[in-house]
Amino acid sequence: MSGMGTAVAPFPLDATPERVSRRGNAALASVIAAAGGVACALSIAAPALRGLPLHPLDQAIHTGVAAAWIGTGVVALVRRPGNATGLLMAAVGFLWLVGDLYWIPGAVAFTIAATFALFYPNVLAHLALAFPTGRLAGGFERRVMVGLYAWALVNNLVRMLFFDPHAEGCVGCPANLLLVVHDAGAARWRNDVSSYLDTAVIVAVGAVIVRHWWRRTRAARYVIAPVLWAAVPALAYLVTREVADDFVTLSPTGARIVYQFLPVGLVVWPLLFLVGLLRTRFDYARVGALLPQLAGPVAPGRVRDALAATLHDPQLELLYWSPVTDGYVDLDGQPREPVAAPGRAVAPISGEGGPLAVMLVDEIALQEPALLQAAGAMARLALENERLQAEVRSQLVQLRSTTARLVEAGQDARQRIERDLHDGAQQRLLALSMTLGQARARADGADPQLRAFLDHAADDLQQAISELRELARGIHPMLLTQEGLGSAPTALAERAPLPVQVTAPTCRFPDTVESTAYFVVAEAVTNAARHAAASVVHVDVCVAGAELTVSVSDDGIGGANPADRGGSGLLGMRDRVVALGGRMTVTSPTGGGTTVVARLPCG
Amino acid sequence: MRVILAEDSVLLREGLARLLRDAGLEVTHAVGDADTLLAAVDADPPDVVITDIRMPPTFTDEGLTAALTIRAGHPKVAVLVLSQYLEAAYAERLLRHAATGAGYLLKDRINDVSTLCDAIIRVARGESVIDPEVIRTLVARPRLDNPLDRLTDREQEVLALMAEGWSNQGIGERLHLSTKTVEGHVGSIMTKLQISDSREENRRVLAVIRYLRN
Repeated sequence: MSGMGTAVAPFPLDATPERVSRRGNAALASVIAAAGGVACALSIAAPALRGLPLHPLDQAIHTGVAAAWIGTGVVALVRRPGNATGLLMAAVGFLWLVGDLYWIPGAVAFTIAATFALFYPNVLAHLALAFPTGRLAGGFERRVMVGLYAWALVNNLVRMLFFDPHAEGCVGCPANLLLVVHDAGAARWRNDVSSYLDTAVIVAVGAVIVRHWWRRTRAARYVIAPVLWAAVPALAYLVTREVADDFVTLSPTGARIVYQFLPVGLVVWPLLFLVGLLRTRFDYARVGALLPQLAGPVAPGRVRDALAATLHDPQLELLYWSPVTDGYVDLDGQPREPVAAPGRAVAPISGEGGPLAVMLVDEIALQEPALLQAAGAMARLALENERLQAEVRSQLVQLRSTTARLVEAGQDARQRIERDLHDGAQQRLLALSMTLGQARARADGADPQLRAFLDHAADDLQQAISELRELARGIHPMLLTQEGLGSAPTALAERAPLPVQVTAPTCRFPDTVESTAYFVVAEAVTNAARHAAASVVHVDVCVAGAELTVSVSDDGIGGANPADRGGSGLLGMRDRVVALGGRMTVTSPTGGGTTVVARLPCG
Repeated sequence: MRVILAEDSVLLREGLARLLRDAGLEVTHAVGDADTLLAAVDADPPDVVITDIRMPPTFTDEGLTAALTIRAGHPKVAVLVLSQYLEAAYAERLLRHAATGAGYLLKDRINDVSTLCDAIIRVARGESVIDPEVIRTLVARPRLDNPLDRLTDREQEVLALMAEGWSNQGIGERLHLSTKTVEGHVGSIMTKLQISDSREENRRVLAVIRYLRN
């Protein structure tokens, strides 16, 4: 398992977690958490201190929104060091509390509160466009955000130039330090213009967010989805509030609902961000599920599919390292450069002996390097497995062809020996026999003792010729070469020392198949005659599809042991059958006869 | 009697040619392969062709094939195949295609000039000749519920001689029996073994050998 850690090489990331000082990040998170705690505590304490305590439910919702954003922001900061998302979330929480500056007496606090109380939705939009990397994806998004912040700043500042709290009916309010225009008509006119512009901006930003989501890859959408869904209630709140502010006059109950209860929608957003985090945890479990999927023989492409499913990236590509071409190839074996397209990234997978493959993944996957590493490690197991299997297969193929060559060489050798015996020794002995025959004819009437010697020599010679003929025949019967299995087993039966009944097809098969089948018949018949005390042997040769089946059964004593190295020759039979890619079974119950069945591929 | 000899071994071909000439036969050609043999027979048909079974170019059964070709193309030319294979299958194949005037003899017989000459004379007469050793193997082979056990010893002798291709008269001479007696034995054998094939002497050889091989 020590190799697992090195399974995936470091990714070409701009801001890998390693590059950010963990200690600095933790300190920042602590400061934000502390500040948030203080701000929330003050937000609760201030109304009471001023003698105007809020309804507990209103207070809970109001402070809860801030606490939720700051809290999840801190969690995000800790979990994704170097990612601005956490900071943006915390910023939303703090900006939400800006309105509470109303509780601080004095015109300065009041002016700041009035100016920035409604600034937080812009940061929400920023967050929606920058999630999950914390960076704005492209030039368009960046321009939109710059424009939005500029508009918000200008709009709010301009609003403040016209905003007279006393004229609006707030008798106890401090003065607006930015108030310049003291014309109620102009203020009303500005309000009308601003209402339409605000609504237009909200709709436009909503459209940009939808476009942003629409253009993301599926892998990215999977990550963003919870956050974007959470934007729905948040947007609903903002739109409702905008409408309520500018276009309708609400009853007191309606106002309470809109201003005090609908912000609950804003709590949902950071909570769903937490769901997003948990979802990543769930993905680790999915990586674990890869293991059983990729164990054992894996079809080509299966590894890619499993990785694509686990990383939610249907476009994921897997390029295999090919030692032959010394480069990467795709599933079809075509050479490919491991170069990432825009928005994609290269994640190498290395094995014990060097590179194994690279994954071309969605950039978003780099956000979870540990997940990517884990998936890569699993894929490595499968790829190593695949590679080893391929190696074993190729060795097996090599072994088969070597064995086949050996079998053929053996076959050739036997045929050559048979031919040499016939054409060499046998011809010489026959010539000798002929000469001796002539000598015997001439010796007719000669010395009886000489005749006796000659007769004796002739008998011995005849014996030698017969034995040589049987020897040659045993090495390789010519009849097998010429007429195949239709004749040779029958001829074998004719000279067997016990009744042998043969059924065999007359069609021909490859030389090695015929000679192996014949060898099985000859050996099994010999065994039946020598060891089995059988009274009859049945030989059945038949062909079915691409398989030749040779069955030899006797009615003898049985008890033959296929593993027996001596005598029976069953081991040698099996070796020759297996060498041709066939298989052989021996059934030999004690007292129940012996049946040898050999199956040989003959297609 | 005019004879063409085909044998690829020079040693045996020259020895055999001398042996046959010494026995009073006229060896018109002595050749070393099947193609030359066929050409020689076409050019100058002899009374009998004596051929080795195994010759160039494949060294398998060229002689047997050539013998069948000659019997088909030259009905008056008899053939005697000299074989180093003790295989009834070859004998049966020869008889199947050439019921008369053909013989299958083991090469071993060249040590006995009289047996060889007898066979040559018999095939020249249109008889069939099958080597006694081939027949002995067939008759002696173990059988389930051996039907040959139903034959008397004499009948078994007659059966073997029938299979060797002898005519009733020939069998009678060899066993010192009258032709009539031999005919009686033959009828008994055919009935006991239920060999329904022709009783004609030339055709019965194949029938008997087929019976013995099954």
